[in-house]
Formats: sequence, C-alpha cells, structure tokens
Amino acid sequence: MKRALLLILLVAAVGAAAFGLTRWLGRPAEPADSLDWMAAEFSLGPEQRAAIARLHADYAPVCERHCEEIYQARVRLDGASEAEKAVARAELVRLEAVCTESTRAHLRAVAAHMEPAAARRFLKLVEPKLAGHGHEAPLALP
Amino acid sequence: MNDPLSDRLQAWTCRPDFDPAFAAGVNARLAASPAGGAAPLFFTPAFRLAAAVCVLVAVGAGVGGGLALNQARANDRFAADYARSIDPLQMASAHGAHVHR
Repeated sequence: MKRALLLILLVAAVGAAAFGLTRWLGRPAEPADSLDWMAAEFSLGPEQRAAIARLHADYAPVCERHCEEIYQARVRLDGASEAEKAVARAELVRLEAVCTESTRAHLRAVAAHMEPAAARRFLKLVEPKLAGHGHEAPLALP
Repeated sequence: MNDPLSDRLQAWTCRPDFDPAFAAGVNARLAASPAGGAAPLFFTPAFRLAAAVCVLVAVGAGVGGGLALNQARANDRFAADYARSIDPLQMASAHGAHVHR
C-alpha cells in the first residue's frame, strides 16, 4: 500500500515536472507580425496570405482615419462646455459605432479568406478582443 | 465388572511412524525455493512495466498539457495584439502609438 502511494506520488511529480519544464522552456516562437501569426496558426496558403495582406494594406488608412476622428471627438468632448457636451457625446457615439462596424467588417473579410473551421476559430479568438465587442452575438461569416 | 473399553484404553500406547527423511525433505525444499519466498507484487516484471508506462504517460501528459497551454496563451496574446492593430477605438485610447503590424 505504501509503495503504491509512492508510485502515485512519483507519477504525479513527474507529470507536474514535465508540465512545468515545458511551460518554462517550450514557449512558441514570436511571429514577426500579425500576418505571420495568422499564416502559421490558421494554416494560410500563399494565396490566402497575399489576399489578407492586401486587405490589411487597404484597411490601414481607413483605420488610421477612424482612429484620428475618434481621438479628435474625444478631445472635443473633453473641452466641450455643458451646452455642447450632448452634441459632442452624440458625435463620439456615432463615430464609435461607425468604427466598430468597420472593424467588424474588416475582420469578417479577413476570415472569409480562411477555411471555414479556421475562420470560426479566428473570429472566436479575435472578436472578443475588440473594444466595441458587446458580447451580444458572435460575428457571422459573410 | 471389568469395562473392556477402559482396559483397552489403559493398554493403548501410541507408536507413531517416524520418517527419518522428513527433516531432510523439508530442508531440501527450503533450499530449492528462491530467497525470501514468492516475489511481492511490487517487484514483479508486470508491475515494473506498468509503473514505467504510468511514468511515461505522465511525462507525455505533462509535456502535451504544457505545450497546449503555452500555445493557447501565445494565441491569446497575438490575437490581442492583432485586435489592437485593427481597432480604431483601442488606438484612439493609445493615440500616438498607431502602428499596423
């Protein structure tokens, strides 16, 4: 009985040591950029990768413009008088809705270039990390 | 009146047959058996094999679990980085650090 207990403890200790060492030493390599990560994690072929790279390039200026508009709207709201606050807040809410929808549309477009199972996993992983994600429903593929 | 049974019991003596080879036979059997008698369960080859398999399975489960958790954590971090890079709402909060990766 004592020896059986020792064996169980030994097996548990060996398993825990293997887990700990792997967690410590077996870290995945850092991808160079998001596209590298996506290509490796979602098994993108060269054509899928190129298509997503084009989407990113097209979306970058849109994203930058939205970012600037929201920033300026927040600055205006901060500096607004009490009388102007309602209008400034409404404008910020409108811009945030536009940006959220635009970001979601971009995410769906990226996912559309992946295999269906990979696309579902991609959306499930990235969608909750968007600031405007309200957890009301998962993004659907187009 | 004499009781025949009592007379017979009075006259009865025990004369067991003694086997002169009995002790030698016991000693011979003892000498032929392995030291310490039959091996306990824990030292049988089958038990050792089972213990080795358990240890190997524990190593496999530990390494597999560690790799899976590392990958899940890394994916979570890369996904958060990616979301930050395409989300104007998050970028506006960190205005000035607008970098598309």
